[in-house]
Amino acid sequence: MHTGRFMIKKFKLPKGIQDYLPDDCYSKRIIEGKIMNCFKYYGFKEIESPVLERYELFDGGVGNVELNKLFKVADIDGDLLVLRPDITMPISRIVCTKLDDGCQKLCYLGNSFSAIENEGRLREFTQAGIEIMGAEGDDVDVEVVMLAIKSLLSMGLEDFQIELGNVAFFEGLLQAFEIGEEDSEILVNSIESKNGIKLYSLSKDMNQKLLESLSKLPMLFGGEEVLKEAEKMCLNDKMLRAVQNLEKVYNGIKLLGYEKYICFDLSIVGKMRYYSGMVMRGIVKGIGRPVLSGGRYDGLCDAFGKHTPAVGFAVSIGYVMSVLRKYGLLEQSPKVQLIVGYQPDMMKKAEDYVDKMRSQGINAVCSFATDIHNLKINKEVIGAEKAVYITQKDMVEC
Amino acid sequence: MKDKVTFALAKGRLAEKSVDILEKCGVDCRHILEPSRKLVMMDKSGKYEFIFVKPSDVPIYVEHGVADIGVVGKDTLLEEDRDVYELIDLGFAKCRLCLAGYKDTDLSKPKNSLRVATKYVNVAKDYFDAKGQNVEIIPLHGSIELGPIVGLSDIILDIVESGKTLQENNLCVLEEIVHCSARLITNKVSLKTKAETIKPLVNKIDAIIKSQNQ
Repeated sequence: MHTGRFMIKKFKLPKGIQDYLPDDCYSKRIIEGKIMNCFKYYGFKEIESPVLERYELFDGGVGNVELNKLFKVADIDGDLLVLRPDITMPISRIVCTKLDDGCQKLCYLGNSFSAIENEGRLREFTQAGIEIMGAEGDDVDVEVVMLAIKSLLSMGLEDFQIELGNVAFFEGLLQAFEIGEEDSEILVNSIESKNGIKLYSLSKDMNQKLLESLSKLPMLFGGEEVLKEAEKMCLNDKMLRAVQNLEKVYNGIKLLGYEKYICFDLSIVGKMRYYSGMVMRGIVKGIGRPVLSGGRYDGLCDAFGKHTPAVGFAVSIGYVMSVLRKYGLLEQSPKVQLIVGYQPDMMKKAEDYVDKMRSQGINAVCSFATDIHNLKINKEVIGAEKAVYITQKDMVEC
Repeated sequence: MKDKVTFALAKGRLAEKSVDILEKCGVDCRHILEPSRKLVMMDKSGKYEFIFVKPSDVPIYVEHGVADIGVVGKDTLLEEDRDVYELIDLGFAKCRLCLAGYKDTDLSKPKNSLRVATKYVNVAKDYFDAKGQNVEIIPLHGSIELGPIVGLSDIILDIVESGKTLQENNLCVLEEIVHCSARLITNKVSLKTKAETIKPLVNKIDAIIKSQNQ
């Protein structure tokens, strides 16, 4: 007999992990179904990669996953395995090693893991996303942004914005002033947190002109007008191309009539160093974190010895659920309309009756209750609208 | 109708100073400082909501987006390291994060494990990691100065304002780590989704602070 602490542990989940009980699970599947259908409608092929990957996939290179956040597992032979932290890296691996060259449009739905509860997320979280690999150009970016909008709409979200930036803008700025690796990391962090104060304290030995540009960056967000501002700040081709890319994407989306969902933030400079061009975040009123994030990461596949331009995004299904729940927009599982109990030996008659009801579109189930009293209890528990008890002679509604 | 904007404030001096600045920005909220057990209050216009939380919890409320804006000490921000925007140095509640102990304590001696008592466990860890020094960190929640006096620790890491508490206990500042003051922080999404209210307010506060500094 085990008692006390052992039993408590037996009932408890590891931290940052959760069950989805029937009602939540129903709502979650509906959302997942909607977004995956949307991806497929736009011609994306679904792909499934394993939850377990080798540690080496994430170690080194441009992936820049924080290694201490990886959920690690020791294999039987001592090899180090990892529960995938995202699905982009595994897809890059697959595309570079197993698929034909040329443009691949892929989508996925699956769970990823983090060893620590990261950015308010559980340690196991569901993501649905897409990747376009092997194609570059502003039009490709337009398609991805468009799909981001369509996919959020498909799940029933309305009041959202897709925020666009381009990491090359900031990189170009740093290049213009020949800023080294170490300093640029400090700057990335303070720009990402819009930390003008830190910039100021770093300024003692900083070029005055650079400081001026940097201190404008944190507030460089808003509508189309932001791009005009950004254009004035350009010091080299790289910066200019970054702004032009955003202009073209905006014009493309405008042409398609969806520009009301677009805004800009040039201070998204990419802590995730794998981004190389346009970056995007989907933000919704009512939740303090982006429900969607992604961008262009042309260098990621270099780690596999094959330069492949790539762009994509992932949607956090959990965050989407939270928002929909907040606005009362979660689809609830349908009520049982009819529960049928039967006298012993009347199973055939009962099953035939239930089948007939189901074929008429009624949500009907059989009960294992063998008398009217228990059937009534069953009806209450399950919340059914109507109960029918079947005997040899007749059917009684109760 | 515009969405209301929620402020997370810590009761006490930070809240008083914050109200002073907000009043200058035209937010009628003086009444929230009146003694009361209410945890949630509104300004007179109903545009702003104020929630009162523990100082160290301010960044947590803001990170999760249940509060859009917060006022919090830089020391707390360093310790909590939350994913928020740190927009303005409000300039009040100035203090220093310091290492303190008895005057003759030798910090540079590569002792196997210096014992450090502190509320700022993460700051201590980062600081000594960066120095490459092994230390034993002893987390405490108050009366940190007792550490060296009763022999619980060799030194302490704590905020120092006037230095009087240290003096009265025969302790002194051994090393200054960083200067701190109150900061205005915002949730990363709210700044955009409620920009029509937050952006002008932030600009006003920024202008007031800049004029004070001149």
